[in-house]
Amino acid sequence: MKKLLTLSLVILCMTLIVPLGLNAEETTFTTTVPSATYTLKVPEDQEIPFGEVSHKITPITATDGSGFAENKNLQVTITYESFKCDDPEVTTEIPYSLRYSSSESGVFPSSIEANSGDSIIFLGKVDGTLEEYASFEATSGSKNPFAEEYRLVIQSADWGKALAGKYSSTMTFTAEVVVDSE
Amino acid sequence: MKKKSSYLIFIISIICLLLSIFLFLYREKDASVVGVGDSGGNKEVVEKEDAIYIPGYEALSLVANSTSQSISLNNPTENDCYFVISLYLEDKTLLWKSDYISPGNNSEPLELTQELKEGTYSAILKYSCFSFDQKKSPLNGGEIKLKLIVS
Repeated sequence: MKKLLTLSLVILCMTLIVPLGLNAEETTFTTTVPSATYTLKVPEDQEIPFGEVSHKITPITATDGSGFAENKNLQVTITYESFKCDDPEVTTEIPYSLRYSSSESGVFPSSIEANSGDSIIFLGKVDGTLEEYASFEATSGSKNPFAEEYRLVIQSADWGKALAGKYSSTMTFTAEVVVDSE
Repeated sequence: MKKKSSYLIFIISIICLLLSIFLFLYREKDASVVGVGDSGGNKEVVEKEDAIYIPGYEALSLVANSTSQSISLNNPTENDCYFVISLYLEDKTLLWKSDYISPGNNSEPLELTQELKEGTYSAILKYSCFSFDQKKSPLNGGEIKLKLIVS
């Protein structure tokens, strides 16, 4: 009985001591991941001369990126509607599309025609910043090229159909930080 | 003595001429930005960069159970337009709307339309941009999808 009591006491002591011993050796590492911030540069208002079928606009870029990483990217969706006349009695519209292209040689296609609702991706880098220009997928070439030049494309026939008046259209750029799961 | 003065005036004139040439060339360079070139390889000159700078965030931190918040949002100095910034929950509930914010200025601290409980919410920060003049004509705008971290 005495032996059993002694053994029970020893077990009880060990039960108390073991966690204390483990706590003494425990090390906790902590880190805080900051949320990403950036500045998106988009085109302001621009006058497009009548009849111009391809008009260069200010390129869309992302700067001052922080808190990004490889596969943590910035996705920008561009939405727009056809040019509408400021005079409500004129009902003709002038449709257009957005074309972005790369100056890099040896890639195909070197330009992409994007419709309203299409997205462009600015890739996050290992140093936590962002690529300044969006990249697009090319079917040939060593790497995906950057979209460095943007143009509004209006078909000549659509200029021809438009009745006289002042037309305007605004674009909306919707940005979101996305994590690529691949 | 007279010869020495003439020599001095000549030197000063040369310096003034060189200085004015330098200032003229520097001003010309500053006023135009050469683009990357069009598809035909010709150089294009863009008179000024018509761009809007929109600050973006992955998340904003807010205080729970309070409509008064300490954070303000800004219109970068690089801009040449007014901002009107609106904060919406994902279901389009308006949480806050700013007055016109001129370039280089901040909004008033956010005063929410409703208190939020602790948690993480999906939200949209909408930047409506207007010309920096009396007309305040609408320009291209931006929307930032972000998380509101309320604690």
